[in-house]
Amino acid sequence: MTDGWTPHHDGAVGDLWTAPQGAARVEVAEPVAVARALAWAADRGLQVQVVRGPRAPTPRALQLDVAPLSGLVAVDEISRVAHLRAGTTWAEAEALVAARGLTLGPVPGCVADTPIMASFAQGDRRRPSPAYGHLTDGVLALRAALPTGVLTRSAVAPRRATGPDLARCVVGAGAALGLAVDVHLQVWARPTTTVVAAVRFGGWDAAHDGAAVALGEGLRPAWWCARRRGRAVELLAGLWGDGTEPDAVRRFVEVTGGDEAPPEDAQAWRDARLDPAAAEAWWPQVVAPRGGLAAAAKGRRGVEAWDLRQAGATLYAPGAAAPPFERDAWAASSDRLAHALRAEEA
Amino acid sequence: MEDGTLLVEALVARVGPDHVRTDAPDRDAYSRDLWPRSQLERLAGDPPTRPLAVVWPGDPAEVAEVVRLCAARGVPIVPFGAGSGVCGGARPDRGGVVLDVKRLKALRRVDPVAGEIEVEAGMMGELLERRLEHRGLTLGHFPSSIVCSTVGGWLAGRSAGQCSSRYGKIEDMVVDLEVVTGDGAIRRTPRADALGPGPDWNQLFVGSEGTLGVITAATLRVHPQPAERAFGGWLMPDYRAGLAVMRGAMQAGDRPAVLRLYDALDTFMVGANPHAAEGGGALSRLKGLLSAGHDGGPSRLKHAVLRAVLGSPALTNAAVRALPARCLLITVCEGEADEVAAAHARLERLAATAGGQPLGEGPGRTWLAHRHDVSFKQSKIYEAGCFVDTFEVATTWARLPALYEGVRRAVGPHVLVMAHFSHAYPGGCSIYFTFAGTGADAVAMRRTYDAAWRAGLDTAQAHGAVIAHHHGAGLSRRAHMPAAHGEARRWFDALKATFDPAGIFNPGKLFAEEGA
Repeated sequence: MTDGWTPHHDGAVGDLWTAPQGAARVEVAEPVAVARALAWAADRGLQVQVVRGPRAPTPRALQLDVAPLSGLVAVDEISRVAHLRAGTTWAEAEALVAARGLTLGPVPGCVADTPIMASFAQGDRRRPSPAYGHLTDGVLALRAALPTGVLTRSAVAPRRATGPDLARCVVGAGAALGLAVDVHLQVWARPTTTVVAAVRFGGWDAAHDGAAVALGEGLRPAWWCARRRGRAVELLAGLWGDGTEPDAVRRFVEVTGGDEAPPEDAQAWRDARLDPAAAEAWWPQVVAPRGGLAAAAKGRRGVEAWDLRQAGATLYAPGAAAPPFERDAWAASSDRLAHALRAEEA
Repeated sequence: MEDGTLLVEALVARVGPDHVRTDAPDRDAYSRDLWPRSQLERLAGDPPTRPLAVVWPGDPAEVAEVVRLCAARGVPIVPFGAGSGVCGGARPDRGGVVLDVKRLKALRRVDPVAGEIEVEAGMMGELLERRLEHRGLTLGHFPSSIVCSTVGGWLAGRSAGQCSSRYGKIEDMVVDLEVVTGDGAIRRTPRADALGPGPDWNQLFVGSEGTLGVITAATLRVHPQPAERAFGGWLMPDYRAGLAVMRGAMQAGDRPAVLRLYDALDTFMVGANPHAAEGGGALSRLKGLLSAGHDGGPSRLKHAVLRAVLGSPALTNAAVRALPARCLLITVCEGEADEVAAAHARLERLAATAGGQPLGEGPGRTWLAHRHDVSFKQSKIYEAGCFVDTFEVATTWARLPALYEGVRRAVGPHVLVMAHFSHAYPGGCSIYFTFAGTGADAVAMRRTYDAAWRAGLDTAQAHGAVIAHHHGAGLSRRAHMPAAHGEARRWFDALKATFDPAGIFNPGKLFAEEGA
């Protein structure tokens, strides 16, 4: 245990550690323990941090060590659905399903060590895969712990029409409305072929247009991004398949309409960009609409585009200041919602 | 009534006398949607609850004003699209004001480059699709109710179109929403593709069935009109073989627009003409029993035969089990030529491996031509002293066979039941059950009807399935909603307290009110 912690016991949450300035830490091994800990933190007005392993104390925060809440509960191989405990990291989860010949899709290095629970709490958007979606997209069921100290349940199904998608309350809302404790995620057959295509364009907007055309033509790379190369912009794409498309690179180049470029360093460059150590550097982002990428990228050194969509892209620029989060009406609504949840319990 | 009179005067002052109605025919017309149980209630002589008034605001500002006026007086508001819901979600059971959004019908923005439109909630589905078609675009959302439903209704109920396997359900198409909440504010939700901190508000308002606010407009994703289509039809040895084909296609990453598998009875109803298979195939044949001919009126004899058949559901369902197990599978692939060819070729391989007998492209083409016919065939069955309804549930592929068999067993003692499988995803699929029954009188029919619904939803929940895939919850599933959501109900209550503090939006829908 990192210095500064003192062992403690509390009737509500069991064994925990405390430190000066209202810092606390508890290990959770069961979903119900997460619910108890959330209620404990809410009663004391503490923030909740999802961590794995020892960390230095954080004032006015309860660290929830979710390492014991890890593992693969089951795999439904017919439906290709993996039931995972939410303390599992994405890298662990991928390794667990890989042993069954399955995949979650590409797991970027920057999220590899992130627990599933934390990704859901953050509303993680760092896996913008056209083929597999974001890491939090493929959820067929999510069980959550509420700050009122109880657990939700959910039927496992691809879609539903039973009112609002209430499980979304825990996606992107921090721990204020609850935390995922286990999830059923869509998994896929592992690809038998993986190749990288590199296509060069005259500028950012042209590269984005090429990507949009590819989407319209039904191409779904496992991952893609764009990087500046001198005056040109290069679109890189990871093409995963089952071996039935031997000319995948050629088709991608033709459809996007750019010039084929040598892909030699593309995979290594991407891996380096997605290293966890690099994550903080490129996390600052700017969402630019279609046709506005060139303007948004102007003057930014090392700018890259990682979330290419029909209607625009998200640009990442190492070292740039993250745009401040403005507390708009929706943020206030979020606060009111959290308050209403607690008030309802009281 | 004085309060009501004052409210109506205030509404007239704000929205105009032509857009507020309190006369009996209008209040009667807005006293229900297309929930079949409402018809049974009417046949049993139960008077409907009429709204105090029907209001047609002309823009979001007028919607906001109506909300403020009602909130100040604690008068319920039932948002209303085209009234084609089949779960009672738009019934004004607590009276109040029905707020019809059909004057909010502008297509505000079409951006073919970004692949987005912004459209108001009262736009009728078919009109929207026609306008997009002129621009070479499609929303890809084709519910069987498309001619009698609105964008707002689709969003409120988490609707699915027949091509959902390719384009997704309506919740998959939403970029952002314009919503009037209980404080009378017109709010725009954050874009789904650029979310900041906080939950995805779009997915909390979509499916809220008018309980959290009035959806007045939405930005939706659109697509180019498909360049190519490929139609497929196979007679599969049994439904499990058909499911294997659907699952194989979706898990390979293909996105066929249509994958529809009819169970043995539904396939039999199509009879010697498999090309007539569409969502209402079974209903068409039931209707045939009621008619002297295509252009003749219903006959008493046929009514009696139908009542006899439906009056002994256990026997009829047992007889159905003697039918050949063969099941009709219809597929439609669309998009660019290469993608269509690859997806169709994979379906051919999968169907051949599963023992499917190819039927050519006829079944798919005919289905496409008649796919919206189903919504107009129920009245003949009610005329015969019988009832018909549908419910759709969903689960994972592994659980589908047990769910299908279990629901049929549970519902079978009460009604004749058949089903088709559609709306396929990589992880699972929906089952759309059609059931028909009768009773000695309207009260007995309602009792049987309720028993069938209860048995079906109880069984679905016992099998871990969701109790609604795209019709919504409304009143028809309300009794099962607490079990469906468990403690997540607290989130809903918190949302309600946050966005509808006066409790005026569609009270009693989705979940029963406290003390009800």
